[in-house]
Amino acid sequence: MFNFGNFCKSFSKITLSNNITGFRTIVSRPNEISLNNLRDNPGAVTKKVRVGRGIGSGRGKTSTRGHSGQKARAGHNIPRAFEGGQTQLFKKMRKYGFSNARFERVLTPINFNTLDRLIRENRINPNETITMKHLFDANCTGAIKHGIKLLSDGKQNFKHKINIELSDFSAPARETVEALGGVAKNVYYDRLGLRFLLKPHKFDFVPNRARVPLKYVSKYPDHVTGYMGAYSTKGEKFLKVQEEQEQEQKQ
Amino acid sequence: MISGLCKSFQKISIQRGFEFSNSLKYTTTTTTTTVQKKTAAQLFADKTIEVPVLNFNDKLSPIENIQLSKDVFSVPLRVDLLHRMVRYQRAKSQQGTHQALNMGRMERTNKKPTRQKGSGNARKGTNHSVHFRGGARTFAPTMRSHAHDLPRKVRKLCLKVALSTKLAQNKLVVVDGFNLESHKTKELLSKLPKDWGRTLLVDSEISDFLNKSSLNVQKIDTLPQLGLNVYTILQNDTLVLTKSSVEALQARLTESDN
Repeated sequence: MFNFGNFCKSFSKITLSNNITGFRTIVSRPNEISLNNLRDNPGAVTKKVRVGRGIGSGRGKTSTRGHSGQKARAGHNIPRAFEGGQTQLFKKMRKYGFSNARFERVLTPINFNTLDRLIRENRINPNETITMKHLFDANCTGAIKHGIKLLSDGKQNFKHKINIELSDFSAPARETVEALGGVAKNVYYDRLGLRFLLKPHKFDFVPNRARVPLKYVSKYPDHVTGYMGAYSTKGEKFLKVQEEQEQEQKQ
Repeated sequence: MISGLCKSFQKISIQRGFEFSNSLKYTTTTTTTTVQKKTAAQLFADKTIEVPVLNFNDKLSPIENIQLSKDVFSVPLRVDLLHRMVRYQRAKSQQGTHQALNMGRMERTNKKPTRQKGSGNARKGTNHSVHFRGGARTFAPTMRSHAHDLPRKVRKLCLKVALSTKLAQNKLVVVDGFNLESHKTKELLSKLPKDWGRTLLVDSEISDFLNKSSLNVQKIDTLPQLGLNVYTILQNDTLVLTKSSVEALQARLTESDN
């Protein structure tokens, strides 16, 4: 016979906390906690199934494998989609759809922690303009596929004034660089231009700089864009600006 | 069945507001509270606990009070988190240098010991079958690491639970610093009261004098603040932190994970 009064009595001793909303989490009283009194939540772990331990266990004799047959054999790793040799369903149907996920432009992240370490180890000179080439040569990132983005981890300890040109910056990272008197400039490279920047020894020609795609125009001011690079990202005619500069040089 | 089920949940916490009556039905209480605007000082007081800082060199007399963050020193005392962290730490430090021979590793002749027929005894294929005396082991222990994963935020929360446990048990002491004038053990022991029991001294960095004076004492452990861990906290009766290590701990444990 269950005595409900006992339950109420023990229930009232439980330490309630406003932070707790779960029903299956043990919150103990402080004096109950010691190294010999630790336990996981009820139901947190499941016991491993032990087969072949007698009739009463329900998993004796054949160890839940039944009699004979391929699945009762040792090492029966039959693929789920196997259909006895006939062409499987997923092979009988054609491919559907398309996904742009594989073309996503994922920028490699670096943080101020890394920059600070490289400057401290004299592997990067903070007095010259830092480009992705310097970071690549310093071997501070892995493979750079689309570019580098500076994030702001460790910005409290970063005290150097730097001029840095990367693919992108996070908002606090840009604020940090500019607050220290430096310049954080966005530069755009496509895959070909980036590879030429990082590994120029593999090229026997100088590729033209790619135009900025329209969806990135706001991120990359003063870059060529439009058809054949005829405009700058600020909307002016790019070639015209170039011609004017050439004329000024002649004069 | 019902009594067995209820018995196993005796230590389960339930949302505030549920009340159990004598029957199995329950009622819900709704409370309406008028919210008042609080000053900045009151908001700060809500988030912190006041703990005295003791003078280590003057018979542990209180000097001042330090405000401990409730996010670090007053989290719910979840035993399951402590359990997972201790298992993680003990599994990580397990040596794993055990090894025995199974049928694959045992290098013995594969010669058939007795002929198949006519001997009147059971069949034997090799002399080192797993059911023979001196034979191989079916599932022999292998040289391996027993370490397993635990998410980083969970580990950080486990440390907070351990610190909150010590504070709730009144076994957390904050001192101004371990300023010792010599490396003599007697000097250190004279400063630590006996009822502290097994003591863990935590400083930002363990000084040479503190290290040498406590090295030969079994009841005293020393750790730098960065090495503070759940297992050592629970192993020791009293946790003694310096003021600087408390501040560094709070900054470290309240820093957001990116």
